Amino acid sequence: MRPSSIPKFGKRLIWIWIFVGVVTLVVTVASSSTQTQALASASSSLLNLNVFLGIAAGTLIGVVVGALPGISPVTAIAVMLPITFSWDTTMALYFLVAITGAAAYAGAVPSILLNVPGDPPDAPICFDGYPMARKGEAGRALGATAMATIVGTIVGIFILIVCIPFVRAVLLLFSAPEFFWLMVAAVISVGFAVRTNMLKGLFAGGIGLLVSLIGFSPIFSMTRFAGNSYFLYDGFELVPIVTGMFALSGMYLLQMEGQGQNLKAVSGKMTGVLRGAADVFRFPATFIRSAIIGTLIGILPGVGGTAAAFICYGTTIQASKHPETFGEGDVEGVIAPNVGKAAEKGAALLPTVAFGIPGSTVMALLLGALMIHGIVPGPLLVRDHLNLVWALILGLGLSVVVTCVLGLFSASFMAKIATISNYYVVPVVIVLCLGAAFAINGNFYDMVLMFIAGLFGFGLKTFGYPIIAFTLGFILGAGTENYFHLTQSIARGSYAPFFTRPIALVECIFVVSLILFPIIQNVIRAKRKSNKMKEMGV
Amino acid sequence: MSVFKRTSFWFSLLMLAIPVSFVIMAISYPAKPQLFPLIIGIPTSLAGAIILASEKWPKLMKPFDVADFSAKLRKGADGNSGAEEVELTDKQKAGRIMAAMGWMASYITIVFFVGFNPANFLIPALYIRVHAKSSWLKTILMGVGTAVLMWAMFDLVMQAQMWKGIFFGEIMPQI
Repeated sequence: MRPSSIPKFGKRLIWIWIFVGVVTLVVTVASSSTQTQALASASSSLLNLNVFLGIAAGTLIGVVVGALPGISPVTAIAVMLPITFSWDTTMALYFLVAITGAAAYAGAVPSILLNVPGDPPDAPICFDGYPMARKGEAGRALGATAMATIVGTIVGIFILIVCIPFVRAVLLLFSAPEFFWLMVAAVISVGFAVRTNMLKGLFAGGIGLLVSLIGFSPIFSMTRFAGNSYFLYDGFELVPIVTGMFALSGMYLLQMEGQGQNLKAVSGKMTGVLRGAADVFRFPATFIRSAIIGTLIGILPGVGGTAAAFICYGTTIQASKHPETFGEGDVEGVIAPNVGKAAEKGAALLPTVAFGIPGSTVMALLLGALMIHGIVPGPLLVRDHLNLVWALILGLGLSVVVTCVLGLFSASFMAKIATISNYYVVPVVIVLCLGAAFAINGNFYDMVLMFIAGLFGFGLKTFGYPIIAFTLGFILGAGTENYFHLTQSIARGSYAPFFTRPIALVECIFVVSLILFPIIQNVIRAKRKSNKMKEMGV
Repeated sequence: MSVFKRTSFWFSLLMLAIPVSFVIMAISYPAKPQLFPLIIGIPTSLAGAIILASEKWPKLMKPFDVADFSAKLRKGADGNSGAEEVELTDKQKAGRIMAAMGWMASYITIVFFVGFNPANFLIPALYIRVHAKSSWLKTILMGVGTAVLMWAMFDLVMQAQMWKGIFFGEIMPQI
């Protein structure tokens, strides 16, 4: 194939791909009356002024936290979680998901203009984004970022929409033992997926499960692990624990950093925005490969956008015919991580809404938000609250598109946000978090609990225990125990249904292999290494 | 360094104490209510024990290491950032952590005695005065701004009854 024909072929491929996608999407949604009703219900709420303002506020907050290095959407959602307590569930979800959607683009802006990532997943964008900006191509890099973020999110959302009907059909086959194993798999897979040490992940998840059992148990009509404490009678509240562990613990890290960096943005005219946007379609292989990688990583629980962005960048260099241009300002190096992290965001919704297994830390917090509103997170969500699933999809899509479009005109403003000193951020977040802890129940001890949770979370982060594993154990603990005892009651005290029902057995094997596979793999690797050493006579 | 001198050792010990206490407490409950906590508590305690033992024998953790595909690239990213990294000594780090803890504890104490509004003004204002060495005007603006933001969010939007302080008639709830 002649080099000049590559873009032409790419354009055609993209259009065919988009056409097939749209047709599948329309058929999927229209073929089910339940889907249509849920979509109609979620869309109609968009006409509500409060919901509209909620999305606007969420988008604005997402832009600020996305652009601020050190403050991630996770921190923002953890801080905002209590504020949504008194809101309508749909509105709260629109608001929270808009934060994460807006942060996707906003985080890339300081990477390009300042060489400082707004959030960890934006780090690989610095490699080529900043050199582009220094060459006077900041507008092109921002245009490519905006378009890559939009199309990446659309791919992730598309996969989710197509999968929902199948997932609903599968979930109809589930009963108590299957749900039990699913929740166990959720906690264990997050422990497995963390990038430190599996045992520490499992340990943190186990502690989360145990802590969730504190307080009155409606199954046994008795209080456990609470002593005579009135405060512990209802168990620990979700908000002080989650907000403390994610947001307050982050403030210790910011305090350690001190003032932050003295940064100066690359200045100049923002030209070539449209060219940058078109670049995404000029490199269809990069776009499709990154979208697939991002989607797969999004579906894997607990791995997150950082891994997606780095892997997409790495594979693009490997696949490139001119790898030497990467790091010097190659637009492909901007497109790949952006598509990857955006696709990851949309796809992470799938395990979250379908099985109650969060695809990322942000999704774990969204599960927490559902719990605050009295909705049991887990497999029943997609069966009984499809309108909320659609609210998540629409909220994410809308906030991404709005931020990317408006963000192109306000990039220099976003870069200015990134230069705000940590000293102005830390006290505001501390005050907001602790105030929110009290506001939920009007209980002073919740503030003290959040303070302790913040310290505990900081300890976990410092010593390599994944906070997400603890949080997931804490969120799913009560439900897991319920399904465990429900199965036993139905089987009159027998454990047989956990292992004899076909789906439960498959899940059980999956859980066991999740634990054993990496251990066996590591043992074999160590043995091979020692054999090699022996052969070399070392 | 002796294993007992490592902070990670003491943290691992503290972590291990959590599932062990759950197991000990669960034993005193009737058969059914103790079942699930024991099923979770015993393996978690075992995992905690291995983690603690690995403080002395790090090889114990090797079989549980998870391959991180993006780690190499991330390492490369560290040197690329435009941020100027300043290496802190352990003492400096500890000092800054203690400072953050101190601010949070002070905020809770001030709220306890005089309620949210004065604390929302005082803590942010003092914080930037001490750390950012800001001018008095900026200090006051920061305090007022945060206090107004908090009032708008919690009193106005959430309509929550915020704590007014022990000095202004609040009574401490039973623990």
